[in-house]
Amino acid sequence: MTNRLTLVKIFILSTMFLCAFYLFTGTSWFDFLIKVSGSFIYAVMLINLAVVGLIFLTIFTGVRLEKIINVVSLVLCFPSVLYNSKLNWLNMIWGIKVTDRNPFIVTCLILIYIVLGVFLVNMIMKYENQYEDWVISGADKSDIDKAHNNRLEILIFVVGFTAIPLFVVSILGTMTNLPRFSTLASVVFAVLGAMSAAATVFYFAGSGRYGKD
Amino acid sequence: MTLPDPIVKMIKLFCWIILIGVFFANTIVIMLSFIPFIFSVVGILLKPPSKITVERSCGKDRVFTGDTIEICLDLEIHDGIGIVEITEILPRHFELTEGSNYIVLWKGIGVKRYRMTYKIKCTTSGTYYIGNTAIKVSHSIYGHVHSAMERNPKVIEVSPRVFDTTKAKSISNFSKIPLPTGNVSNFGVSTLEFKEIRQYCYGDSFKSINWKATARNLNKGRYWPIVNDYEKEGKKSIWIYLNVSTSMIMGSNIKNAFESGLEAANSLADFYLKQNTYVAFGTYNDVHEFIYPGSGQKHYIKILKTLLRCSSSIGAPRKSGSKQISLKEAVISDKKYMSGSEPLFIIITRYNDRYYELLSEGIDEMAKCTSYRRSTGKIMVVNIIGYGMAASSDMEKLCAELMQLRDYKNIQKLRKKTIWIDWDPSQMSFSKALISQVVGI
Repeated sequence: MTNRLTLVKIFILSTMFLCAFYLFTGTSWFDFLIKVSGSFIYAVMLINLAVVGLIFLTIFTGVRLEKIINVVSLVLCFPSVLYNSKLNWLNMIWGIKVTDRNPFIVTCLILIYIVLGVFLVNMIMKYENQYEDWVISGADKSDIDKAHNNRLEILIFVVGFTAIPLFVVSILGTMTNLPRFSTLASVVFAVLGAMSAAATVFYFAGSGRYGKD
Repeated sequence: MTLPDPIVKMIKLFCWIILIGVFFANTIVIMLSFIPFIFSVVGILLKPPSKITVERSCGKDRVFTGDTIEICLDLEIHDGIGIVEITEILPRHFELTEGSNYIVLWKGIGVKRYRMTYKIKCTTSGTYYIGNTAIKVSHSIYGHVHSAMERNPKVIEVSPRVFDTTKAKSISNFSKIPLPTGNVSNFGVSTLEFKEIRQYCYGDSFKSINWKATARNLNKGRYWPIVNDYEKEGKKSIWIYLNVSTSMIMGSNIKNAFESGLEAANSLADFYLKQNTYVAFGTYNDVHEFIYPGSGQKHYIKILKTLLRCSSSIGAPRKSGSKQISLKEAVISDKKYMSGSEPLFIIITRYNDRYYELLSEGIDEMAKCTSYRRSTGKIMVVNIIGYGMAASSDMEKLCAELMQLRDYKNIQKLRKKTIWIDWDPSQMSFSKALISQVVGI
C-alpha cells in the first residue's frame, strides 16, 4: 500500500513539475533565457540545473523534497498567472512585462491541477507520518491499514469533488464564450470572494472576542 | 464554536488567495481560491468521532506477582467520522503479555462497536489503578487531534507470592524450617511444668501455696506464704524485620531484591501463621512500621497490606521530619510487645559489608531479648543476593559473583550468631533456599 502511494506521489509531483515547466516555456521569460543562454536546450538545462541545485541546497537544510517541488512548480507558473491578470502591478511599477503563448484554458487547467496536487501531496505526506507513528506505537497492522485506506478514500473523493466542478466550469466557460466568461467569472468570483472574506473576518473577529472570556 | 487549527489555516489561505486574485484582477487565481474554501467547508461538515463510551471488565482484582490478568474493553463510538486511537495506560510494573493496549480504529458511518482485549502480567507487588484510557480522536481529512482521558480506575491488588508449601510437606524438609524454641509466656493457662517457688501475691490461689516451704520459711522468721509457680502456656511468636532501604532496590525495575524481600516476608508470615504462631512484622532502615504480634487470617491481611504499602513507598522521598530507624532502634522501640515471649527473629535484608556494624548491633539487641546467651537458633537472617538479578550476560554474571565475594568479608562473624540463609532469586526459589540452607537448629 505504501509503495503504491509513493508511486502515486511521484507521478503527481513529476507531472506537476512537467506541466509547470511546459507553462513556463510558453512565456516571454523563457524566451529571454534562450536569448541569454544561446539555445533552447541550454535554457532547459539552465532551469533544471537551478532546480537541482535548489533541491540539493534545501534537502541539506532538512526540507522535504515534495515541498521543494511544490514551490518550484508554483514559481514556474508565476509568469503565466501574471500574464492572465488584468492588473499587472509589476509592469505598472517596475515595467516588468510578460507574454504567454499558452491558451487561457491550458493555463487554467494546469494551475488547478498543480494547486490540487500540492494539497494532495501535503495530505499524503501527513498521512504517511501518522501511519509510521501508529506502526511504531504497536497498533494492529490490519486496523492501521483500514484507517489509512479509508481516510485516503475520503481525501481522494474531496479532491475529485473539488477538481471536477472547477475543470467543468473552466472548460465550458472557455468553450462557450471566453471574453464574456472571463469578465462574468471575474465579477461573480470577486463578489463571492468578498462575501466569503467578509464572513471569515466576521467569524475571526467574533472568535477573538469570545476567546478572551 | 472554535474551529480547529488546520481548518482555520485553510480559511486563511482561501482569504489570501482571493485577495491576491482581486488585487491582480485574475480570474484563475480567484477560481483557485475555491480549492481551500471547499476543503475548509468539507473539514467543517465532517465531524470527528464523538460520544465514545468505554466499559472495562477485568478478570480478577486480587492476584499474586507473576499472575496474568485479562482485561476487556468494550468501546462504542456513536457520532462522527474519523480515526480513534485508544491507549490503555498501564502502571509501569505491568508487562503486556498478549494483545495490545493501543489500538487505531476507523469510525465510518453508523455506530462503531469494538472489543479490545489484552493480557497483562503483574510483575511487582503493590496496589495499582487500572482504568486510565487515553482517547485520541483524529479528523478524517486533516488529522487534527482531540485528546480526552477516560478515568474509571479499578483497583488491583498484587500480593507477593507465598511460600511453596508443597516442598515442605515431607517431614524431613518441614523440620528444617526453624520454629521458636520456647512457647512460654508470662500470662495464660498454667501448665504442669514447674517453674519456681515465689512469695504469695494477691490473687494467687490458696491451692498453689506450698505449705512445706512456707513452714520452712517460718523458721527463718518470714511469715509470708510461699506458692508454687508453673510455666504458663503461650503461643510461639515470630518477629519478621524487613529492610526497606534503597540498597534493596538492586536489579531491574520489575525484578529486584526488594521485591524478593517482600516475597520472603509474605511467605514466612503466611507459613508461620498457618503453624498457629504469633507473627509480628516490622520495617527498618527507613520509616519504621510495626504490626504487633497476632495470629489468624485477619492478621495476615494486616501484614500483607503493610507489605504492599512498603512496595509503593520504597525509593520515594521521605517525609520531612521522619527519621531513618536502624534495626537496633527498631528492636528497642518494639521490645514492649515482646513481654514474656521468646520469639524467633527473622531479618530480611541484602547484606553489604558497609552495613555490617548496623546489622551486627541489631542482631546483638535481638540476642538480648532471647533467654540463651548464644542466640543461634533464635535469629534467622535471609540475605537476598541482588547482584545476579541485574546481570544478563556471562560477563555480568561473573562480575556479580565477584562483587558478592567482596561484600562477604565479615559475613562469617554474623553467620556464627545466626541462622544465615543466602538466597539468590535469579537461581532458586525461596522455599528451596530455605530448606537447603537451614543448619544449626
